[in-house]
Amino acid sequence: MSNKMNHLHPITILIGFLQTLKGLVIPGVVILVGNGFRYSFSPGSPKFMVTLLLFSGILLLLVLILIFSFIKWKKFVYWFEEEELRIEYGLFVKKKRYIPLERIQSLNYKESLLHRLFGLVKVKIETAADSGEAEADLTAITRSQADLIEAQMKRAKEHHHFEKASENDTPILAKDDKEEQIPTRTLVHQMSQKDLLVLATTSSSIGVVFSGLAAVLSQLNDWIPYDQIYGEVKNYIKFGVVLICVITLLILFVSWMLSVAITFINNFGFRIEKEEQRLFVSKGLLEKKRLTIPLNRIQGVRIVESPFRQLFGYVSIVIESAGSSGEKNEKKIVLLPLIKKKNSFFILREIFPNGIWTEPQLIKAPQRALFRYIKIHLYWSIPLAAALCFFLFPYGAWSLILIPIAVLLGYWQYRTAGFNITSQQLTIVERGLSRTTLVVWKKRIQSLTMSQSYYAKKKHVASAKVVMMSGKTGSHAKVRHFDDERVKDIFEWYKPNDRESEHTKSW
Amino acid sequence: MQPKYQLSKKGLTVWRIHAAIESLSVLVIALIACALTYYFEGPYWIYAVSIAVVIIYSFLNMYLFPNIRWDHWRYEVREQEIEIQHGLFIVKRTLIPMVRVQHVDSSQGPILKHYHLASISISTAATIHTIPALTVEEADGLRASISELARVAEDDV
Repeated sequence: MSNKMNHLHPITILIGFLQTLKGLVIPGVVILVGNGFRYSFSPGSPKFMVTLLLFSGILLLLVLILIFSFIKWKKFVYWFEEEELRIEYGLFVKKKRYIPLERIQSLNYKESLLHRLFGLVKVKIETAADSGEAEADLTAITRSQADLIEAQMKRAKEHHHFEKASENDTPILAKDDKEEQIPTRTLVHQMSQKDLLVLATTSSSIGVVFSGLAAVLSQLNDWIPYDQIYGEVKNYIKFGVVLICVITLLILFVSWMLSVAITFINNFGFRIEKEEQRLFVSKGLLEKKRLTIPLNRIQGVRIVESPFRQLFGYVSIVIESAGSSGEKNEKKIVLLPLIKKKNSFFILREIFPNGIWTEPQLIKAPQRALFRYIKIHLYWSIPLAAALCFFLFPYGAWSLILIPIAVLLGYWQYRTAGFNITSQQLTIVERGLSRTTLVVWKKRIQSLTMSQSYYAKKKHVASAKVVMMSGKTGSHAKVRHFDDERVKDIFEWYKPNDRESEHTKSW
Repeated sequence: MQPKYQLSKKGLTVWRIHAAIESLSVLVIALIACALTYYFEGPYWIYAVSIAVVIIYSFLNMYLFPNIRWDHWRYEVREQEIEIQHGLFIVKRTLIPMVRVQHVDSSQGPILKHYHLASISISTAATIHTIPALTVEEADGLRASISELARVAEDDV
């Protein structure tokens, strides 16, 4: 093992410098503008001295930041010793961090444009610690160095594996292939250009377009009465309406195009690979990212169908993972931004061979629960509509439309809701606006709560909530308003029993 | 089959004391409102409303709600799971498998201590469940047995 001390690539100085600068931009601008642009560069002017002082101050600050960035870089070293990745850093206080290589859960790579110019990567090292923060960030190292870390990590893990041959993790998600000594990385899925285009064009910006259209329509509503009142300026106002419409549509179109471009660039070359117990998700055209997801940290899988994409049979797949490994510490990791639903099952089967991946036979909510689905939306829509009617009469009366919309939404959610239990797997289908199918395994559920109000009990309706570990905290899913006997089935299903636990142990 | 055990009857007293302290602060606010009304010669209905609020709040918070809560509270620690039932209007039954338990804490505030009571909190990786107002012996026993059972039921998360 090489005990050589390594520095990060010198470009780190520039990156650190730019990062510090970024934090100073806003206060800097405030100071500069706060002075009201009373600057002068002519030596005769009385403001010259102030200007000179200010700018030399800024220059000095920049130089200082640069020097600090340099020292920071100089002080940051890492090396391998005794199967540990050891890092030493710190400007004033020297800090040491030793990370046992076999504990490393994931190495996440990120390449910005600056990195790519020099063939470098940013490596984020994560261990099983639930703190959610990355254990260590190597801001810029060469590709070969990154590969070395990965190789060292694998070697340490294998070593560890031999020592503790009895220990096997992640039983439910994939079988341990004993013969498989050399880990092979297999491509699970690569997003097609067509899917990428569909993804880009139907990304959340569709919502922006709709809300934009709504805004345009509301504008029209505002204008129409004026037409009747001011007959003579009718033409002028009509022209105004057209102009506003055109401008609004133009802005919407441009912002939509932008978001299409951004989504396209961010998700370009999206691919999922699987190697033993880990998944690798890579994407990006300009800025490349590679995410490692240890399979044993995955707590649940959500298949999300937004209403628009549902029409065309497209879904996106999101996973709930313990610890972070998400981007920007998000708890949800997008495993697949867009795929045809029927293909998604193939991929999920390949990634989680022990899960059951078919369209489940759902137990549906009973009809007597329908009003409960609608009721919850009446709680917000009626007061809101009433308030709008009262304060903004007569136009506020349009808000009464909210009430039938709320009722329909409740009905839609009622129609979608369902769940299914198999021996180890719970599937919950629900709808906010998007239809979400959550698949969670019994041994990944942290706790289960069944709830029933007095009136619900009379009607034999009950709800249940499952809590999973996700991100730093938990996340939950609800089965709302089902026949209470069916909900009790979930409760009984979740109850551990002897036979079950032996089964679990044998895994 | 709901869980077997109920909380200590003394727990109800402790809840009432807590509620009484809350009622006291509501009373103070009501008195301030009355005083201001008197000083600024406000309408008389403010007195009536203030008194009504204090009475209704005290009745609900000190008498009715604690009674209902206490009636609903049940818990049972079995070999492989912990079951808790609680709630005011909505009765919730929670199941926590032993394998999911990460640690158990017991705690005791001054009022609980006076009544020789304690509460225990059961933590999983994602949730915390509290059983309030157990006698100290029960709480200690439960804490010990849960941590013992949780250790036996080892499993990966």
